[in-house]
Amino acid sequence: MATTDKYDRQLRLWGAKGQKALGDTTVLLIRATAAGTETLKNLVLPGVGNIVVVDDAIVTEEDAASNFFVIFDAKQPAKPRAEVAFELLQELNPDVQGSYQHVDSLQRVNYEELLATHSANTNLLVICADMEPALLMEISSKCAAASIAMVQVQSYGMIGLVRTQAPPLAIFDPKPASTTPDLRLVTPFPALVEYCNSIGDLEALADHEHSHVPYPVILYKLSQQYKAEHNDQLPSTYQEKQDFRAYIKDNSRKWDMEVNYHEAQNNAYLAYSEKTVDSSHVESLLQQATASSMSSPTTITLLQALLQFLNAHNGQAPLQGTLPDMTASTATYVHLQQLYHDQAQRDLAELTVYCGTTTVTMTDEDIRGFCANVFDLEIVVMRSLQDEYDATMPQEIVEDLQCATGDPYEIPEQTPLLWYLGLRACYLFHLDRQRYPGMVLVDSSDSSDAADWEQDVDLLQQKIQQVCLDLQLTNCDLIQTTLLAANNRKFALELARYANAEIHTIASVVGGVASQEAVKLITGQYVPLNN
Amino acid sequence: MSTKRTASEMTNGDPNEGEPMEIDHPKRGSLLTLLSRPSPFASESGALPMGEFEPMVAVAPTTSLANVEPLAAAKVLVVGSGGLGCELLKDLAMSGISSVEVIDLDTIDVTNLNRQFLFRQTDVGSSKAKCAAAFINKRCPWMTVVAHHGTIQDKPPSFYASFNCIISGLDNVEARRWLNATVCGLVQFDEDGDPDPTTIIPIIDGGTEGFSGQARVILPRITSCFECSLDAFPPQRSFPLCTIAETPRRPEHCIAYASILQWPKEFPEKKLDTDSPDDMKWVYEKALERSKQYNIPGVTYMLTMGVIKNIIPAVASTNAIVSAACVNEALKLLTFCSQTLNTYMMYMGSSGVYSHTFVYEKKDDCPVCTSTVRTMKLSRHLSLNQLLQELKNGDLRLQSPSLTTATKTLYMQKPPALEKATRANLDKTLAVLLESGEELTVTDSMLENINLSLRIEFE
Repeated sequence: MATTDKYDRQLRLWGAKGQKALGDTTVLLIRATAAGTETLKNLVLPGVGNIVVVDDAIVTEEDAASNFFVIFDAKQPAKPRAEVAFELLQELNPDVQGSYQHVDSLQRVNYEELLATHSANTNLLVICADMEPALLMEISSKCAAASIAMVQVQSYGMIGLVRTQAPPLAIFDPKPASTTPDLRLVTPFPALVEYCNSIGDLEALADHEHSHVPYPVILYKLSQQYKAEHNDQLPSTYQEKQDFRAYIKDNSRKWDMEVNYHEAQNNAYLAYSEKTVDSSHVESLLQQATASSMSSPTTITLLQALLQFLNAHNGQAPLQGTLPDMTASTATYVHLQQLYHDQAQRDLAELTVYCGTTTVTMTDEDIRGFCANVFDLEIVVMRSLQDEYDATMPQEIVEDLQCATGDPYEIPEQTPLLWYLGLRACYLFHLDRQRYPGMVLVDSSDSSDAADWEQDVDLLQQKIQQVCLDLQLTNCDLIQTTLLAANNRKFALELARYANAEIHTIASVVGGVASQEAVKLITGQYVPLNN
Repeated sequence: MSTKRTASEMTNGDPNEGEPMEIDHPKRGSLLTLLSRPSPFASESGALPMGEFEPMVAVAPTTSLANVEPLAAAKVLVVGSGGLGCELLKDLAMSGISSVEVIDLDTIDVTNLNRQFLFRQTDVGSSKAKCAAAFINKRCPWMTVVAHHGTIQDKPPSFYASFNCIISGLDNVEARRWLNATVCGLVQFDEDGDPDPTTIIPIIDGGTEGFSGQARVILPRITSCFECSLDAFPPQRSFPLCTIAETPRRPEHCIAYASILQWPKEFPEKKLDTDSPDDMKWVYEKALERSKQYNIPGVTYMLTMGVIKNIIPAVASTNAIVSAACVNEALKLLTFCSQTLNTYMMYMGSSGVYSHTFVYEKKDDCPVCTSTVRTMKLSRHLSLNQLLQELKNGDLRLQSPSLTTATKTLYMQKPPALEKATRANLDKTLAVLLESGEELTVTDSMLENINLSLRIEFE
């Protein structure tokens, strides 16, 4: 094989730094249900450092039919699910360490202690799988209090849910799918101006050179000429921009042959618009970071340094320094690339000085990484589960629902938010009856399921009404025509039908999403779900 | 799904108050629960109704899915046993579908191990299909997964016709086109020209790349097929040769130079083996040399591999999501227990979590799933060979087309004897061979079993 590194395919997504962050993390799974073990599988395979599985269940035959990491042997005494799941998960990857803990009852665990134990020397991330509401609230509150990130994963019949709860996150490495290049043609740095001037008049160039001038140079020179003829203004109206595009074409000698002029025309906007960083946005991020005592000192230092840089440079951000490929002779391309690179290095050095000689330990890589993402900085503050369930936040939800009803292609009944509300109703049902709707109480003499489960539908429908009332959604059109429509108990019927069924495919989908979000939280790369 | 009650009635008491209650975890529902209870959202209620859901009669206290029709009777084919394939097999095993066959031509590489979880270090070098089948059959004793180590093209259409459902976890466009054409080609028509539903075999197709992926349902002749969406997969563009040879600017150009130009010069007899560390090292070193010559930074061994092998980043989580979505569709298609995906779901997980589902419409003139006669306006002076080139390089993107008219064979790629006999026609002009407005039948190795009708009109 061309490489012996089994992590090659994922290193191309998050690099050695991300891989190290994974290796430095312990993932604690509470309840080894299918959704839980699937989440953990997708973290063991990429090489998380350590796993801990905590559960109070004993393996049953039903478990083994829907949970790949549980084996049931009728000839042996039944084993704790934590033990079986842990062994089968760890076996996937010899790089991963770990342990399991079988407890008598998850309700009686001291979660403060548990969290403290496993976060002592390592970064900890908690996965709560298929957890009943009371327990979920307890654990999520303890995680929030200890600033430990937590992911809730649940499969419930044909629906599933993933919810992330983490301390405020600095999104300093979002890796957006597409970025516009940072060419700085509107406020060019001195070395770039010097270089463009040194080329002289484009019209004086020989044919071959003319067709190999890199498009940033073309755009800069033409925009300067444009300014000279337009009162020192760059194109701003739609007509002016169209005119500028035509101007570029006019300046080419053989339009069909000069690819660099095509590139200039395609990227004409870079001549008159520039990426900027809004100082007030950075100030607001700094405020958020400082206010939340959870933010790392590195985050605060970097933001402060950036503000200093912006102030010193009239709002100009440090240069990115990368140049996309473009039609040019090798020598001119390499030279231009070097100019951008050198300027970026200068800016980076200045930013490093502003980071100062504080007690904060920061690597050059940290600063470089921050610089490279200076246009996409965000801080994400996630509402805790407790707040979600306590607060009434009608406006947000109502607006989302209105968007859903506005989409002509969205089938109203498939709006995920409706099913979320339905699930909330199931939680209320559980708090009331200590079981989920549709779970039938069976007499030993009568094994018929029959219509027993339907008895729960009425109560569930009441709970749905209660949720809608609590969240002040009873006047929303979509709600009125679906969840609360008279004589329409479709949602309640369907949810009761599920009886909290563990369907492997659903568990696997939410397990995939939950693990993907866990990776983003652990590596600090890409943009995590909020929430 | 039954709850054992303790002697004392369960109350609404707060579990945190006083002595915590003894709560036996109530048994959750299972697939059996879903299959035995009616649903207002069953298949017939959806936009793509597949059949009417009939809940199973009261389920005895058995937890085994082994005898649950129609799952137990279903035969499912998994195409590809890699990142998606391993997940597909697991998901099928956990969904009561025990008769499964899997086909893959590949052997296991160490770089598979971060996600193809049915394989271990000791399996490196072995057949993917065989290892995967063996693992599943051992972990899940109710399964009988049969492995086929080989290419999909080696199997006759009758092989594909023997399945109720085909799930594809392929990693390239050509294989998908072939599979799609073959399965669509199985559909028979009755006297009224309507497709015979018993010959329609659903294809569920999944694909992933990094944090993104998609799953789609193809009902041959009913919904859009893979070929309908061919435009969405433009042929891979390589770097212009003049850039590689004369004006390299990027490390990728240097790597392309070493592999495309230097290697054949140095080793005219030997094809570059992308799995050989020696070969890759050679390319890397040559690329590095060239990059130094031109002052171009960035040539690394990792980049070299990425460029040459066209590596797509891959992780377990995305594969898990897409595969599970695919098997979920299979489950619904076989049992009608819920609404079928209509027809295409996109998933994007790098920034937040987004999913978009839409109906991928049939293409009016799809050569595979419509019977439309395509018209081409061509110069009468064009040679037959030029027409063949257009069929290969144009929109149709055929591989090696053969042409016949109602009365004669114009050119056949196979068998050799027929090829030789018709070769002389390649240089003849269309005017000599055809009348304007005449209809040709085109067949191609890419679109097995499909006859494409082409009407040629002279300009």
